[in-house]
Amino acid sequence: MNEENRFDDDLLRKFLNPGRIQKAPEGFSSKTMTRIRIEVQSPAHGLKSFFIKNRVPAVSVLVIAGLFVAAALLPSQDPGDKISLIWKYLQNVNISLPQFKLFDLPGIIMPGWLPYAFLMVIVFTLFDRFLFRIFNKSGK
Amino acid sequence: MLKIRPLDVTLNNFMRQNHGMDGRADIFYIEQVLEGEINAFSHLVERHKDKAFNLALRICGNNEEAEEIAQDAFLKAFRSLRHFRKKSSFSTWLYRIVYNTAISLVRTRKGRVLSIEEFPADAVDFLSINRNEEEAIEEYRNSLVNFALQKISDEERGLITLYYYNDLDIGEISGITGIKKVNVKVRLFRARRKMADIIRNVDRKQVAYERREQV
Repeated sequence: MNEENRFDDDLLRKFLNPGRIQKAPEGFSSKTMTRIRIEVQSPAHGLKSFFIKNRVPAVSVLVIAGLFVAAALLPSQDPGDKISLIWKYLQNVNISLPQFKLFDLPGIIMPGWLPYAFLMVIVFTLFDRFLFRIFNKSGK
Repeated sequence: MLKIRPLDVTLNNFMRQNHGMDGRADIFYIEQVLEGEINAFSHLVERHKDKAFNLALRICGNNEEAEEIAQDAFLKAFRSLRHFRKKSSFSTWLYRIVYNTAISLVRTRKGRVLSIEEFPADAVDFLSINRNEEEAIEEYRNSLVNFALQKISDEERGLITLYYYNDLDIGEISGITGIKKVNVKVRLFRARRKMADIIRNVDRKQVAYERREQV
């Protein structure tokens, strides 16, 4: 800081200092906390908060549900369009693990890998939670 | 320029910013809130409300808007608490929210608040029968500071407030405002110069007025 700037700084320190700050008005804290409590108690907040906290399992469930719906709606015959081609490919993915049926739905054949995909989502979710707790603790 | 503060001021600032009078760090209450203890947030509000309000007030220029801005900032801080990175202090993080909220508000205002051209009062006007000289000087300085602050830009007001009232260094101010350190220094220099000139100008007129009165 040069000489002139130092004079300016000294002058301003005489007039502005942390001891002279304008205090918040009376009741500021209670008004603020009231607004926070109203927001927390609103049903929208609860639902939003639930989905934010559990976004990984929420997204996973949506994806799995989408796969089930696709399995139910997509035709078993091959009309030649791209989606059916992809579906046919997925149906034909071979896995060497034992295949088992989750449940029987009439007219629907579940690909053998689907239950394993579901299981892996659950495993990854739990692993993610586990890692989050570990790193959160070490960050303290 | 490196801000060298006396050791007791540095320690006091650390205590004020990171610990309250109850000795508990901000991080203690933040973790309580994240665990579901909403009421723990009131400790953070109580601890930081004055500086948050003051920052908002210096930028926007009126009490009602400043109160609204400060409350909105605390609400935003509460909503985003899980994203708070514990590397910086809570106060710095909060001031960033206050600063951005205040600057957004003043920029959306239709037309600027009219500022008074001349400082409207003489120092002697602050002296009254019921007030002692010290209080009168205090009030005179406060009014003069408010007058000078209105003469500089919104951004410069924010920088001046963060540097002198919130007692933050250039690095912290850069983090809060998003302005590069070198630019913070330049803008602070300009703002400091403008304000100092205004204050000296008014004071000079006051001295000249007092001399005339004495004659």
